[in-house]
Amino acid sequence: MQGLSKTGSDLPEALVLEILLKLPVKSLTRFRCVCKPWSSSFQTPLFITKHLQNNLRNNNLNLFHKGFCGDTRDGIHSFSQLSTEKGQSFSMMVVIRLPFGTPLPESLKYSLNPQQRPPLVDSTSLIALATGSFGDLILSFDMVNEKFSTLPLPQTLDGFYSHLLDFNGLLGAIFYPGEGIGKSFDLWVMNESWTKQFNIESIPGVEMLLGFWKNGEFFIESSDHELVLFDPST
Amino acid sequence: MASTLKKIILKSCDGKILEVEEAVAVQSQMIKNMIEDDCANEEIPLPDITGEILSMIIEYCKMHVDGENNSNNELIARDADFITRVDLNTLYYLIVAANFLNVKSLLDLTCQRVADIIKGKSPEEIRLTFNIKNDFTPEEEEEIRKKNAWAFDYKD
Repeated sequence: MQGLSKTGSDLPEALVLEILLKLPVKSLTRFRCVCKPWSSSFQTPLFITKHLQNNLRNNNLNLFHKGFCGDTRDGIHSFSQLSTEKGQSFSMMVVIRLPFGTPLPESLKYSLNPQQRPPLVDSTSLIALATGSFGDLILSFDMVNEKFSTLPLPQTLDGFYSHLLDFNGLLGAIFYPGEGIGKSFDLWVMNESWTKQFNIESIPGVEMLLGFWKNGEFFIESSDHELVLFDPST
Repeated sequence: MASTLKKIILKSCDGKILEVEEAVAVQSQMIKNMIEDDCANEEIPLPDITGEILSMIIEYCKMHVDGENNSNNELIARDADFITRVDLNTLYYLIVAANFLNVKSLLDLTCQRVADIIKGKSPEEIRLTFNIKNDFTPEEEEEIRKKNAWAFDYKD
């Protein structure tokens, strides 16, 4: 039997992780029952984030699926990840638990809006929209130091909804009206301060702008709840 | 010109001496650091890398230096050609050596190749491949399988 273990020396753990980071979500989920250390390493925020970055780099589609469950008062307990490899259809889901059991400090008693999109994740932090007695703001959780911080929204408009997304590595916020058939979307981008990036005029049949992909393409959810990749240059 | 023709001398653990052009050798971040620190004027002993593995790594680095002007697709095709010739045993040694020499692109390539080989395997086969002892009780394992049934619907 050929293997990755030589007499007296298994592959160092860090290198095994390097390999596992390159696996599709479906394989990772199956390999959770290989052993306990593997099962728990797949669920650390660092592994999840690195895995996501790897997938994006390799052009595999790996979306954080909308919807998280848990008690909305103390925050998210878990959210789902939807993943697919190139050319395959969406089929897989894995629930990732996040270290959000930690109670929020009193000054930050915001609840995450359950209708909101899932939180954004970058290499060190997790960012979500939150609503509280002080109004709406952006709550970010630093996964390294396990600390919360807040950021104001660029604008608040009555009757407008908003959600956060990743715009070429920057934090973006989308605003759109709650009602109407042809929706328009304003995109604000945080690059030291908020700037309005652009406005997308109403595209018929668009339910929701989900997120950006490479080369300015973006995902939209159509009014019949299908996922569409939209390339503005064509 | 002079700097590109400078040779770096590498010595494998089984005593094989390889002379490598500096431009090729600096694909290894470790050797690059040694050259910058002026520590690469004499032969560099590589205690854990055999001559066979070292030759493969140099072949890979040379391919990337020579192919600098090639299109990205061409390089990907060459990478694929290089890596599919390698079996799992050799991959083990290549990963350890690429990590030691710090050749990031080769480490990525080899790890991705292993991932591609193992992604369709069963947990039992994975335990054999990585020499891992199953520390779940049969009940615990059954529960994970039940909760994630979709992931067990696969073809090798």
